[in-house]
Amino acid sequence: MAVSQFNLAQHQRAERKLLLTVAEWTEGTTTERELLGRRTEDSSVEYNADQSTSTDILGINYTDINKTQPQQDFDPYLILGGSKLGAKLDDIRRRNALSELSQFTLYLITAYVGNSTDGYRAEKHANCTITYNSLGGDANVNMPISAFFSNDITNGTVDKLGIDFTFTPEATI
Amino acid sequence: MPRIDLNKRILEYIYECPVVEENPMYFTVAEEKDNHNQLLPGREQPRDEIEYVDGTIERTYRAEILMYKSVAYNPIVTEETREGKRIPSELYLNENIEDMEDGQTLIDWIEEQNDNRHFPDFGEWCIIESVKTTSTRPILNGVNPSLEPPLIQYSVGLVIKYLDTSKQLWTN
Repeated sequence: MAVSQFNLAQHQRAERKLLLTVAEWTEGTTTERELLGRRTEDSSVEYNADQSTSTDILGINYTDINKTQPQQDFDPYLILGGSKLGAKLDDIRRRNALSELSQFTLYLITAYVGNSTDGYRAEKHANCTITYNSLGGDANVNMPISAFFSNDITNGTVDKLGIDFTFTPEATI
Repeated sequence: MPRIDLNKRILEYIYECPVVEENPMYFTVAEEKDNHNQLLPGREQPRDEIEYVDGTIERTYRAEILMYKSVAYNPIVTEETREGKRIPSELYLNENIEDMEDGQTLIDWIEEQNDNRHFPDFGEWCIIESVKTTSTRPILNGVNPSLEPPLIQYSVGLVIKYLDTSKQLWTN
């Protein structure tokens, strides 16, 4: 998919559900995946740009971006029956096995680019970290999490918007 | 996907409650008679619909269950006294109290079903989160003395929260 074009009508806004973050990890020999954002009303990838700005003698500013540290928070992230990721994070939490928090692959799927025939544009971040921030809440048990993207990116497409998608890296020239 | 008639599903569900099952049940409009019940769908309110980032939508179904009961004008405690104390009436003893108890039984039944996660069937695309009443006691709406017999109306507010997954793009 060489050219980025939104699969939207003129002036049509992209619904939030067209931006999907999927966590992937292995349990033994099994690869598990889970869509992040269940019961979350608002969540964005924050790029946290590290910038430095210099000003010349004419008063013109020059801004450099040294790096970005993309991060996405999910609050609430409720303890839900059937959530494999929730169970895994809770297990890591109780064992305080912090190194296991950095074994995730994150897919950021922009489903407003592409279609079910040609695939949806996606970026795959290897060796990402997902951490729990707190545990508690009011009526329901909430364990807000933060996903830290590694920027170890492979661009490509996914063939479907479902748990068993196949990621195909972009052909490099 | 086939559309689910939520009103029918709720009627079927409420009808499982013994105090409802043994009496006629009406929908939207009722013949006001002793022991008749009525399901009255309610109006949606702001924040009844919450969209989540994964494309699911939390929705709320509101309704009122109205219960009509004949009125007893007999006093619970009479003017008669025995050894200087007023004595309870033996005639029509506690009829109004017992009628209100039917509403309380319905409320208790709904709470028990919610605790046991026994919910109405809203179809495969909807996940029921909770079925609750809006109050812990039946609400007395008023008395219609023009009917024969005069009727009292109680109501039990019903709130069903459910997750509609039909608009979700992601499939598990």
